[in-house]
Amino acid sequence: MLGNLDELLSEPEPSLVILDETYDSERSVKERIEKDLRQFAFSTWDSREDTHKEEMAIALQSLVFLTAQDISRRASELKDIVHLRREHIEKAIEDATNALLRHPIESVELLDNWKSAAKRFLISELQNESKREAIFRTCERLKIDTADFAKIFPELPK
Amino acid sequence: MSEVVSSFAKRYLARLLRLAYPLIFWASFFRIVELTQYSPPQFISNTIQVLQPVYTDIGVIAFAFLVLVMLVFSYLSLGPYHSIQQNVPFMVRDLLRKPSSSAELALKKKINELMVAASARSQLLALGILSGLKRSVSNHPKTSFFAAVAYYTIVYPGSIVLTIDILGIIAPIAEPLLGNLRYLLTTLSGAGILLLFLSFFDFTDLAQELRRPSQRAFSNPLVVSRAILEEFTVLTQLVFLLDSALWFSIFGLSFKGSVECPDNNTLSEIIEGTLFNEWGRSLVLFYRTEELLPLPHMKAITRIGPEASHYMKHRQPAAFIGIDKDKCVLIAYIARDDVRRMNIWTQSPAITKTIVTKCRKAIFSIKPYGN
Repeated sequence: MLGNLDELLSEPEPSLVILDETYDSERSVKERIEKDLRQFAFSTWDSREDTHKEEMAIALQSLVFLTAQDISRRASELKDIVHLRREHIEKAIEDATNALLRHPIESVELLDNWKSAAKRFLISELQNESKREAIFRTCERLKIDTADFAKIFPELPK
Repeated sequence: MSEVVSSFAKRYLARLLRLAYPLIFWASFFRIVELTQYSPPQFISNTIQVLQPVYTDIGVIAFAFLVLVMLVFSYLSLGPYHSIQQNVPFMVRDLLRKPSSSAELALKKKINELMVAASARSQLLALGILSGLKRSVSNHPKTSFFAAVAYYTIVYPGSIVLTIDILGIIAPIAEPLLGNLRYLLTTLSGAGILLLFLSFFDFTDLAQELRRPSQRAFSNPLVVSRAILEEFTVLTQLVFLLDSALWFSIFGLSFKGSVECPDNNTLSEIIEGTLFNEWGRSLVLFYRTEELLPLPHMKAITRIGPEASHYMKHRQPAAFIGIDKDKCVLIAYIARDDVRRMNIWTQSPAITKTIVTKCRKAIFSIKPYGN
């Protein structure tokens, strides 16, 4: 099952991370979201603008990576260790596909929930850190890059 | 494009100005004295004449001492790079023989131990010295007073005299290169304006440097006054230049120091993507602060003093190690000061350049939000 962002973010950051030949899997996440998940997720979004579709793709990627990290954490025998492998990412994609197949309408809610959780996290960081550092910490926590951040938050929340 | 130019100008012109400023300052100063036709009383001229060779020697000794300190710290800082490059081929053997998750975890742990062992000594030494300097004024006021008096009456004048001696060597070479700028120095107002203009930029850059968390964490009035007065001597800047030259002579263009970098997630994408494009699949190990500063190491830092532990918590060091087959192909150390910065070495200058360029683009993408 695709994780809820609040639940996924409530888990502490793992102390050990190994990125085990995951780059092509990460690329395949992006490709799969483009090809497969969009069909389900965007079927209910015909009336919406392209920017929303782009935001949806970013939210799905973020959730897939956080879910993969969660799967890896659960699979690890050692506490706080994430050994992210290709199969964890593939399992997370499968979960996302199944979730969207079963509840296609919920994809609309999914983006709203993801965006509001991301906004809450960013606002809390902005209270304690410089703007740049708050942005970086949000990217790290949500598993997005700075280009994705700029698409999700054209302006910083107040 | 304009952002790239402004970043380049900020980075390199500021460094060049800081290096040249003491020489320009003294050249303008002597020109102004000459134009005002001021001549000091005879006994002052005589004293200067007698003391000059002595202070030149003191300046040379001070410079040699600074170079020695720089060499010790450079040697210690180079340690992790050399030991990782040398040891990875042996460490990776088990993993290549029998690839498994546990073999990878073991490899990651071994490299982690190597990184901590290689950097612990230099880190603790540097933090110990800086913390000692910060607390010296309050803990040993008398000793600090005498040290300050000795510095400002013996070492500092020596540094100034050596700077003026260096100006004497450089001026005849640099003068023809100045072109039309030379004519500014023919009038009193021109020399004054040039001096004021360059002083403004030099001290603005210094003020920015003094506001950095690393400076604030370990500074006291003596350290700040020394930093300001050192702007009139070329020695410290020359030592920094020599340090850069040393790293360049060892790693060439494969190494870049103090590169502004984005968050670890974006950086991980950049590094993994670049290595993938170059060599296909490769193993990238990411080390968080808790791994680079394990409990015994953090305890040792805490014992040094609260400023050292606060500063290290602020720095949030992290590292990436890239391994392709049985070779270490990338070492990147990231830490926060005014912004996040990275020291990166890769096996090829082209890859280093690509990663640095991608980092700059990532930073530019968030510039509109401000700092």
